[in-house]
Order: sequence, then structure tokens, then C-alpha cells
Amino acid sequence: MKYHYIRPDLQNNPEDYYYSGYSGAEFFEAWYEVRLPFLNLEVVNFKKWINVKSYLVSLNLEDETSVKLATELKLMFHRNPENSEYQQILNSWVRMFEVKKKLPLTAAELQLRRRDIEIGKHHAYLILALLMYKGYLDTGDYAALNCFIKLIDILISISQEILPDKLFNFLVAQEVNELRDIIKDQDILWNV
Amino acid sequence: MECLNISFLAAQTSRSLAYAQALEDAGIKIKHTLIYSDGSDGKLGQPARELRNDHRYFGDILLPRFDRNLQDIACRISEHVDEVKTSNVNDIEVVDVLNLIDTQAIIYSGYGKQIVKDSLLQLYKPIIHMHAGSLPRFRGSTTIYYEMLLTGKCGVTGIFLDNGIDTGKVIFHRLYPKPAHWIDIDHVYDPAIRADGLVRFLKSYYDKNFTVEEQENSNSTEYYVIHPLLKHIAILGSK
Repeated sequence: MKYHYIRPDLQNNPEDYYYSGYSGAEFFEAWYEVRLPFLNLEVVNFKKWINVKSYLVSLNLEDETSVKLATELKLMFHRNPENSEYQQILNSWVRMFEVKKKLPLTAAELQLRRRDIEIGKHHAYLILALLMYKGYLDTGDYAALNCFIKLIDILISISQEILPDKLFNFLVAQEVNELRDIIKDQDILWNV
Repeated sequence: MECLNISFLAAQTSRSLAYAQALEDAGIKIKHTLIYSDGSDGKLGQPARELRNDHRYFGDILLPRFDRNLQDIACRISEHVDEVKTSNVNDIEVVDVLNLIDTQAIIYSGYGKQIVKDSLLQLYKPIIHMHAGSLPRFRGSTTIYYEMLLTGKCGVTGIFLDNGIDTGKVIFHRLYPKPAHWIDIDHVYDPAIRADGLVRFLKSYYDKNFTVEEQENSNSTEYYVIHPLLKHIAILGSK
């Protein structure tokens, strides 16, 4: 069985996942096969703000979307998940991503050189995926988890342009870990 | 039961077919049905996949059959049937037909991804929508799967549509069991439990024995189309 939800240029031609088919437990194998090449790579613990901060500084972010994401991610690391500001940040990014299944480019970003736009977009997708992962981890919100899995699909579709990147490695590993736990909790027979 | 003074606004979908069959099975007659379709949307307005269901019931829930024709059933359950060639629920012709017909309420069964706009909402007839999810907790799209994942049940909530997303006043709620693996959820079970809920609500509507309650929306999450991986966990999981 093939995992049909990753194809080139998912950033610009997003998958809508509408009326996706059902294939039984074999589907987990297909999904895992796609993630497997990116597991066991060097991972930094991005659950700690100090590591996230160093990573964000190293990116030297310039594009508006990435800077906004980084600022709001910092707030999430420093706020209680029950805080209304935390909830607003998480919900607004879930909505923004899910409505278009991609991150919009601002007019200012369109002014930048093409290469810079692509790099900026990759950074934005990576930071957004971390924001969703943190949101899910802190709140158990499946809307955030759903976004996180879709973002991993996009990131894998552009992995050749991203790698090597420690945040990417971390995110794929965490996605697999979290879903393996959920599958186990639901008593589904699938041993990986 | 006497004929209910209600319109049924029906897109050419598996859900509309389920509603019509459930009304027919329950012996409920309505005044009017308006079927809308631009004719280009394939079988039942869904992706080009042959829909099939050979089972009549799951427990006591009637499952829709796809070898029936919506127009034919509409003629059996309705005093009057109109058809409009459009796929847009907010099309002026749809609004005009519903405005002219003298009914007290509208049963809504539209295409996915469309939002009912003010032109219909301002007809000042309650628009009955059966949502596959327990409100206010499960708002948005594909909530049947999220509710299965988190609770192991499938909720159906009847609401009077307003201009928010699943925020209208609640007129019905019922929990249904998680379906067996062999049932297609998108085209069979989801439409079937909504149809079952609709029939139950219409019986209470006829008896004037139902309540209308505001939702407490402050803590609800809005869900979007579920990723296939979560969909598989929802179907195969023990919860």
C-alpha cells in the first residue's frame, strides 16, 4: 500500500484530505514507511525553550510570518496553557492553516527574492509545526494534533530542501511517538 | 401523522438520500422538497466512486441504499417537488423558491464546504440542520471521527442554523454507537444517524414536544477535516 498524502509541492498545492478513504490497519504501515527514513537522526530536545531559542536565533529570521510565529511560540512557552492568550494563539494558527492548508505570504514577503521566500516559508512551516506540537502536548487538543500531522506531511514533501535540520528531525520523531502512543491506547494491533 | 408544513432543501448527496429514505420509512410526509444540483457533480455529488451499501440496518438504525433515486422518493414523501439547476445553496433561484412556498421550517441537507448565507437565513423560517457531533464540544468538519476518537460514541445534534459555524440553538441531541468496521462512515453511517435524528426530531416537532436551547460556546473547539491517520485510528480504535 502507498501513502498517498505526500507529493511534490504540497506547500503550494495542498492536500485537502476531504473524504479520504479507509484502508484498514495496513494504512499505519504505509504512513510509518514514509516517516522511517527521518527517524534515528540527530535530535535536540525542542520541548525546552532554551533549545528553541538558540535554534530561532540561528535562523536569523526576517520574513514577517516566521517572526510572528516565533514571537507567539515564545509566549506559549511562557504562558500557562489555560491562559486565554495561549488559547487564542493556538486557535488562530489552527484556523489560519486549516482554512487554506498552507501559510499565506504577506505582500512584504512577496517583495523578497524568490530564494529568500522559499527559505522563509520553510522556517515558517517548521516553527508552525513546533507550535502545533506544543499546543497538543500542553492541552491534548486534537485540532492541534490534526494540524501537526498535516504539517509533517508538508515538511516531508519538501524535506530535500530543508535537511539537515534538527527541528525537522525532532518533529518527525515526536509525531511518530505521539501517534504510536495513541494507537496503543486505542488497543489497535500494530507493533512498531 | 398529518403532513408536516415543512420544506426539505436537498442537494444531490448521500445525506439527502438517507434523509428521504428515513422519512419514507417512518411514514412522515412533508409539504415540499426542493432538490438542487447543477448536474455535473457525479453520483450524489460525491467523488467519482461507486457508492454501495447492501445492509438495511445497523442495530435499529436504517442505512441508506444507493440504488434508490432521490427524485422518486421525494415525490413519495412530499406534496410538491421543485428542482433547481445549481450547486450553490445560496443561489437566488433557491432562495426565491423557498421564499414563495408557504412552509414553517426548512430541513437542510446541502453540499459540503458550503455555508448558508444571510439570503436564506433571512427568510425567517427556522432552518433545521442535523450536525454529526455533540455540540458545543464538537464543532466544525468531520466531527463524527473526533468524537469517536475521544469518546467512542457518535453524537448527533439538531440545531436551527444561524450565521456561525454550528453555533445555532439546539433542538435535539442523541448519542449513537460507534459503527462496525464494515460500514462506510462518510456516505452511510454519518448520513444514517443524522437521518435517524431528523426523524426523531420531526416526531417531537409534530407533537410540539421539543426544547430550544442556546449553546454555551465559550469553551468549544472548532475542528477541521480530519487527517487520514486520525480517521483510521478513530475507526479501528477501542474507544
